[in-house]
Amino acid sequence: MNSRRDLMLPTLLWLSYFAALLRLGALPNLLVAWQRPWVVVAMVTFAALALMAWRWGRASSGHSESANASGLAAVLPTLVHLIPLFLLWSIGARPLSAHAATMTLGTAPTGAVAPAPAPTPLPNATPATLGDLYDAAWNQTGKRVSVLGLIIRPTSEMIAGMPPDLQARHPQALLYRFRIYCCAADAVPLGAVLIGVDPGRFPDDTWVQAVGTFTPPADQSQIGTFTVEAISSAPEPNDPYLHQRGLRMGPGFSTPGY
Amino acid sequence: MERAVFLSVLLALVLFLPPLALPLPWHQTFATYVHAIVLEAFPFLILGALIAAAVERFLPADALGRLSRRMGPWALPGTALLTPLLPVCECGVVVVVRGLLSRGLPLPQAVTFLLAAPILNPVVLFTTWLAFHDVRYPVCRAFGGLAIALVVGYVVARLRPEWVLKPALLVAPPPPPPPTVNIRGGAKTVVRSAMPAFTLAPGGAVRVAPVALTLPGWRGHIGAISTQTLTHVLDMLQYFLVGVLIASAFKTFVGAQVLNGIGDGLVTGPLALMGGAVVLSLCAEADAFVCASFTEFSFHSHIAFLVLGPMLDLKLLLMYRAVFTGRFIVLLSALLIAQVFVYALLLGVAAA
Repeated sequence: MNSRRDLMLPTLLWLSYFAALLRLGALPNLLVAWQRPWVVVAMVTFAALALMAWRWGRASSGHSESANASGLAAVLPTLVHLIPLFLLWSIGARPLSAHAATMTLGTAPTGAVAPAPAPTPLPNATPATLGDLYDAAWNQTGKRVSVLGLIIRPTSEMIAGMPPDLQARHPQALLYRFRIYCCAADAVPLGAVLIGVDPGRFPDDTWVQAVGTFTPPADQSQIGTFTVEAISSAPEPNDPYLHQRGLRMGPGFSTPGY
Repeated sequence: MERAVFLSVLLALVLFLPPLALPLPWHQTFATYVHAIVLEAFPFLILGALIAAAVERFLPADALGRLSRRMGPWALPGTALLTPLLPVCECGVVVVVRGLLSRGLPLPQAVTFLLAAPILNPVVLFTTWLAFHDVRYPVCRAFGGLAIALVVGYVVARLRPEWVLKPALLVAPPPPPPPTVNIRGGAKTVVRSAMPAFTLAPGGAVRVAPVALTLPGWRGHIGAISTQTLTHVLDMLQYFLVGVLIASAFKTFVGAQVLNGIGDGLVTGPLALMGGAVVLSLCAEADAFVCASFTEFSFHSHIAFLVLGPMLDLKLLLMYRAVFTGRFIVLLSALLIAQVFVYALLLGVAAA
């Protein structure tokens, strides 16, 4: 960065990236709620610094090695700054989905050809999240609850990691949702085996509202079961992730195969 | 002109065209990880760069060096114990250390600060307690981080700076800006006296070099700090982004589930979670929560994860390239891995 102009090109790339992220409303897909204002403040600070550097700054005496580079070596650093913008434009910034939950692309049965059925009315039940079920499992055992989550077919590795009695019931669908602490990169999926659901009805990664009863696992590191009384497709919530309400981490998907 | 056209096209693409939304599921997972890590770290990078720029601008050259010499043998532990006063995360600390080095902080202290600051950060220790609800975790994390940072500091004290630092950082600290007069507006006059530069010309004649007489004023300071902060952030982002891409690829294609396959044991447990800490490249403020989800692993394995992660991970390895030589990064990695492993083993044996 040996001239103000060299500084401004990557700066503008980053400002474009932030503008595009905000325009797409992608922050809830990537960050926990308390992080978002800080990130916006950082973006605004960055823009203000760029403005002040442009107005009052002079050539910097930074430590960059690219200062004396020429040819490809001079262009490469700028190309690196282009990567986030390119990823955003070419792929977008969606919330994590079944692929991130399984990490075993191609092994899950693909029943995802039919579109999700239209939402249907559900019986009344106490609203709860998958996090609630694990955080306060013993208080809600046997109670009828209504839970929002995504559908996923269990892979063979997931089934192998379940307790024998659960394996004997041939689990065909799971309800899951990611819980994040700072950002999507530290997300941990929480899940429950769905009992009494026709897996052909819902493609993978369909948002569903399930009404039924939750049975916590005997072992905290294992996965619980959710006996479905009624289930319907549901719109994607504004915030796709769960957040830590209790102070202690729930178990859920921390079983072998996840 | 070409740049202006390029930027205009780019901005039009970004602001008016919807994302292509490539269809393969891994694309989405990979991009989400990259965006999330970049955004999560960005405020810390800005903060770290601002601190570094302010230190470089206002701290007298060699002030830290003189302070360090005055502290004598207590300089290294003193530096480590003072890190909670400047709480920075691992993404921001590399930039801060660059600024401190340029103001004369001796190299061993700088490396100790680099390694200890993210772990002794009060927020990090609090979230560690929050994740486990067990006071042993933050205590053992802090103690391990402090001890390992000190050992590495003492090792670095025996190395030549040119073996450790990149050549660009070996340059002596720049002299303070010359005293100046603000000509614009015509209201100000010379405030400080300037010592002209004398040179000896052939034949013994003394030449007096002209001295710039311009006073920066608050605009000058703001402009210089802004430029220096941007320079730091953009320099660091080059390395950081490459590290993030590698870490995101690992998370996308390998994932944390392989760690469970290795299983927990006195030796295998710490090794598995140390590998996980390096590959997952989590923020120190959130890593304890992810660590707590590895319920199959025992206390000493968790501590290995918590101590190594803020000192060594894929994105940090790339960021270290902005400060250190490749050979020193290899030595540093080996030292950290060996020490954390031994520390975890000792905890494991003590707990058995």
